[in-house]
Amino acid sequence: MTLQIDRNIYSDNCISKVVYWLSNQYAISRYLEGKKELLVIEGACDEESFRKSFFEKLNDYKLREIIDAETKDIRTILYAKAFGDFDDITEEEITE
Amino acid sequence: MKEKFEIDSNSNVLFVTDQCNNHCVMCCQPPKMKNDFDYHFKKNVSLIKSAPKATKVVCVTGGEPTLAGDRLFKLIKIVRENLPETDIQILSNGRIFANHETAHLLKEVGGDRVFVGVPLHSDYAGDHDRIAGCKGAYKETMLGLYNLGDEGIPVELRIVINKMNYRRLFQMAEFIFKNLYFVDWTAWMAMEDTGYATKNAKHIWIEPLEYIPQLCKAISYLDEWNIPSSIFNIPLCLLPQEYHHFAVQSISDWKTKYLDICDNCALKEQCSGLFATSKSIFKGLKPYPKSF
Amino acid sequence: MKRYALLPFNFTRISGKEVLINELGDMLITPIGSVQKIVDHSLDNEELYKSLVANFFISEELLPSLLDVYASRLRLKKSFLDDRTALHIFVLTLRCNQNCVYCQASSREENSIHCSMTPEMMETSVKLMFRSPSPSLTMEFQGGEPSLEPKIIKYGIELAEEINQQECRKLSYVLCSNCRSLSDELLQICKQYHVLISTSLDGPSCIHNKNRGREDSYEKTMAGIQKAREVLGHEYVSALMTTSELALDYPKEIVDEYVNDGFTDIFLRALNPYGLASDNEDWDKYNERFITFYKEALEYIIEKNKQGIFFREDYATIILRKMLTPYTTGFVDLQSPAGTVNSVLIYNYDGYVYASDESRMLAENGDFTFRLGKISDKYEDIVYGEKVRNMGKIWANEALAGCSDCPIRAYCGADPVRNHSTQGDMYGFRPSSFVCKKNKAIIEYIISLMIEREDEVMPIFRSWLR
Repeated sequence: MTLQIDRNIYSDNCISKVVYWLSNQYAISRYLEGKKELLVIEGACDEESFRKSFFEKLNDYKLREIIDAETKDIRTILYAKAFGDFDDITEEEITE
Repeated sequence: MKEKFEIDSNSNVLFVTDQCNNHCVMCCQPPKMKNDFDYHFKKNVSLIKSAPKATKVVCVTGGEPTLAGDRLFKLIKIVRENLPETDIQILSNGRIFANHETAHLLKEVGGDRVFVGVPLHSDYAGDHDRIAGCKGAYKETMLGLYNLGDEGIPVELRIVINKMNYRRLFQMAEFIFKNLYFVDWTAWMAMEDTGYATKNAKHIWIEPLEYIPQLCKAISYLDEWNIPSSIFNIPLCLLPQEYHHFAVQSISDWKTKYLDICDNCALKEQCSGLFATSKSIFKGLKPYPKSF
Repeated sequence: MKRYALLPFNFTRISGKEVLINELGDMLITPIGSVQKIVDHSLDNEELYKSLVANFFISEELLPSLLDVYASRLRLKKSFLDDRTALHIFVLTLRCNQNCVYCQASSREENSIHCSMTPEMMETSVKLMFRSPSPSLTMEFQGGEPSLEPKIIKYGIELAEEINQQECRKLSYVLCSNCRSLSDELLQICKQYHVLISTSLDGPSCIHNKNRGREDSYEKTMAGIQKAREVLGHEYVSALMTTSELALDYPKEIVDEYVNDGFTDIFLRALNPYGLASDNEDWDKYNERFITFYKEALEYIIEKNKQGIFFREDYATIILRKMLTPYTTGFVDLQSPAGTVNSVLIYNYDGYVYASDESRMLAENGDFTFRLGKISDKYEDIVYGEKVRNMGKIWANEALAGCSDCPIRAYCGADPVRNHSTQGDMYGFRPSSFVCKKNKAIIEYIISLMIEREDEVMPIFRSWLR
């Protein structure tokens, strides 16, 4: 089956995440034509329910992406504040 | 106010100042803006010096006692020197302890004898600030609580239940467990109908009968986490029986009052009674039959 | 409603609700559609709005004024890291006096002469253990069957106590034993040093014996438990079980066995894919059946609690501790950063240090990926060596594909060793991971109980955590 996704609405990131979770059950190939992405899925028996489930996941990842974009900075600040005073190991002690 | 402290009294008050940097909507002792630190300091020193050595606890209060700055810490030192076996309770909005040096100083002068009672009006900053009458109060109080916790100074959280916060009592309990897990115990207090509480009655007065269910849910929750809780100022007849053991004799001896019908109550001895200073009487009071 | 900024959080849907989980692992149950409204700034529920602010899901300032509190709470969640390695497992021998069908230890015959730790090796290992800066150290003796080596146990404990005169750590001891041959001498050592005995009890005798490859196993184990309880006290003997394929059909019987034997908790463990146990081919099927087994057993345990019998399921308790309390947890398998090395180190009878219990089992099968060095190597070379640094790049689930954006990440963990042994690389592939499926099913099940039967289960869950 083929799914068509508008790349103006759903980013590569979102699509990749959904594909990641499906990739152990289905063979999925992706083709980009301008701002339209085509996914060819092999192995989906119930197309109706696959489509529904796919777009549900896609929409959820889009929401998560918005939250992530808006909170990236504060998250970094939070972790820096919480764990930033490590003075018992120095860079020199961990030689690359 | 007392002329001399008593060993077992729960109202050995060291009144530090009438000034306050909060303006709580239900304050039963509305603040006065006059420089009274010295006046009270002198009185307090003589109270301390004349107090029996076996005095159990003294209560440092106001207004906001921490506004006295150095004089407060000096006072605590004097208590420690003269009454080494006496616990020192400080009633404070905790805001000054947002500065951790100040919290550290309190630990230094008070040692293991000092504990702090801090009011929390809501888990939500907006509500707390509105009730405290001061924007930014929540943030400073929360940071103050954390610094007191870091210093190992025991903290009692005091929640005065009013119309503006009674709907979130359970959420407050959850908040306390998650975010103020180091707190030593919580006191859930019915309002005294005097001062601002009377003045602002329209916005903040609420009968205990209206919030008892939420209160019980909050107390049960904290009890399940082994966080000690007490109920202050609510007569036993308004509380379900299984919550009676949370109620304490919270009203200062000199302002407790009972009604005539209380003479017939089997539980009068254990009951906190009512505030003699309150303008109104709680609804729904009735004596427990003597056969109880 | 005021203007607000988002704070990091994720969400999922369980039991007809939207479950929001923030960076601290705090959970809020909300109506479906709440996340969209929060993101769109079209929230219409004032009480929900206040809860979101109070619980660090949104902030009324761009930089939260309680950032210090937020950070302090995050630090507390990860404070298991502060202590560094606290659990030190000493695998004394491969010799064993049983023949369990799922043996993860690849045990050898009781009378085999090799495969045991020498006193010199014990001394080197104990000294290495004290190089860990942790203020508390647990020495856990494993095997094979470690009680077959009482002299080495005595030597190890006494040496640790001697060194501790200077070190002043908090020492504790655990002996993992099948309790078949607990000599009086060994029990006296256990009594003197407050050694906790951790034994294996798979269920009623029919299940236990079938699993253990001996007909008298149940009898001997029960007798051993009894003896240990008499000498050491009831609270010094604990039991855990491994869910063999046979056990999958008997959740209630197994719980009943534990309750009747006077235990107050059980750890419902799935099989590990190691040692002899990996002959079990159909892991998919086993995993599915285990999840069903777990739910039935947990349900039955809840029933027991409702009847007034205090009985705790340990795996659920660890997850609940993460969900409901601000505190950290120390369970090695559900941590991020991973428990390997950070929380546990293994000193093996073969003279080498391993990253985790499962790492040395891999070695028995010829895979030395997680052998970190010799027990005689320098501590810094072991824990900061190249192998550990490589693990360090991929041992936090905050940074793994499939995990980093998983809504229940805070309640789960990373296990590079398990990934390697089942999937061929440490990074792992979540969609086909059995551990992921199992953990997700159990965590979501627990959340669904909290949503659908709040008044019934919450007091019980809290009683497990007190």
